Amino acid sequence: MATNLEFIKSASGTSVSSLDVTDCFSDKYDVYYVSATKVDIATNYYNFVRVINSGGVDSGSNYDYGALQLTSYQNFSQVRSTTATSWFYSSWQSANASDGVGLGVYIFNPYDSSSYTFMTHQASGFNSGSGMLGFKGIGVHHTAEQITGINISSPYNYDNITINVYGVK
Amino acid sequence: MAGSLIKIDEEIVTSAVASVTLTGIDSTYDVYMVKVNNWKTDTNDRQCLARVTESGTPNTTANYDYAGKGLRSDTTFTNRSGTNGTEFKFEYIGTADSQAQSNLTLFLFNFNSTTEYAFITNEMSNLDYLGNAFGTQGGQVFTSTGTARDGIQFFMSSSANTSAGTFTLYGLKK
Repeated sequence: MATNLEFIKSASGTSVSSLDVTDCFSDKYDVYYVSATKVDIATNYYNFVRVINSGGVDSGSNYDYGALQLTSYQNFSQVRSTTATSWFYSSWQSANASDGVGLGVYIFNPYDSSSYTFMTHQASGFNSGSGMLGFKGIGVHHTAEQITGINISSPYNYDNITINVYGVK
Repeated sequence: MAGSLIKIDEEIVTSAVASVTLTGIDSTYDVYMVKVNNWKTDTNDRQCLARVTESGTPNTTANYDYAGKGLRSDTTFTNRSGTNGTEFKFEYIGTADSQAQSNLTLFLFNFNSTTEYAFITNEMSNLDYLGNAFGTQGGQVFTSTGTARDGIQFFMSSSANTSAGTFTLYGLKK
């Protein structure tokens, strides 16, 4: 049987600080791949990843993460939390027009209301004036509830941002 | 619609089993991917493990090496490494926390070869038996040659059972 990494939904924004992809998770898939591309931002900062539940974007202290911050210009460092309000260290974005970022996130079990939602992520970005700055990490949204979408945000406005969601069939 | 990720085998566990075997690796594809989600066990503090299979039989010889970084939410990250083990090693789950489970993405290289070592890369996101987010990212190798490997068998340490999980094998279309 032929299957695929099946495209589900895309969302794009300009001059926004937050972008939702709603109703992209369903009972059709257990595992999803989410990519963020074409990202330009006004001010250097991290990109936050959050889930969307029945109440909207969940900004509660329901996120655990552990990530290794990898740079081309200094020692690697560890970042972690058990009480975060987002998967905070998903990726880094610099403000220069050329300093995009590539972020890929695998999401596990989001639509299963009896299970926590799990993720792994990898990101490669550029820290202006320094060099490459990327992350490899894991995360758990430690609330057993049905998750229907994903959100990426920053305290600062994105000039552009595109999120694509695929199902791993 | 035909895609680039071709499903070959899938096992869905809903009641306790000693092991789960995915088969169908041959020369059709160069690289295979395994997706595991919601892998749970019936015993606390047990390690998720795997072995290559040859003609459907797991190879239990001491030819498995691994190295990775254990990423976790609660404390300093852990280096995971070892040589001459008898299985591929992942992380520990259990029953002390009802949500404890493993979610894995593996890529399998050279499994069908009789002359090359078999390699895997692994990424995982788990909730360990203490309720902490914990997942190792790294690589592992099976260093015995002479027989093509046709699958991979998943099991728990110390004869614990797998009580739940969806295990899927894909080929990456050439």
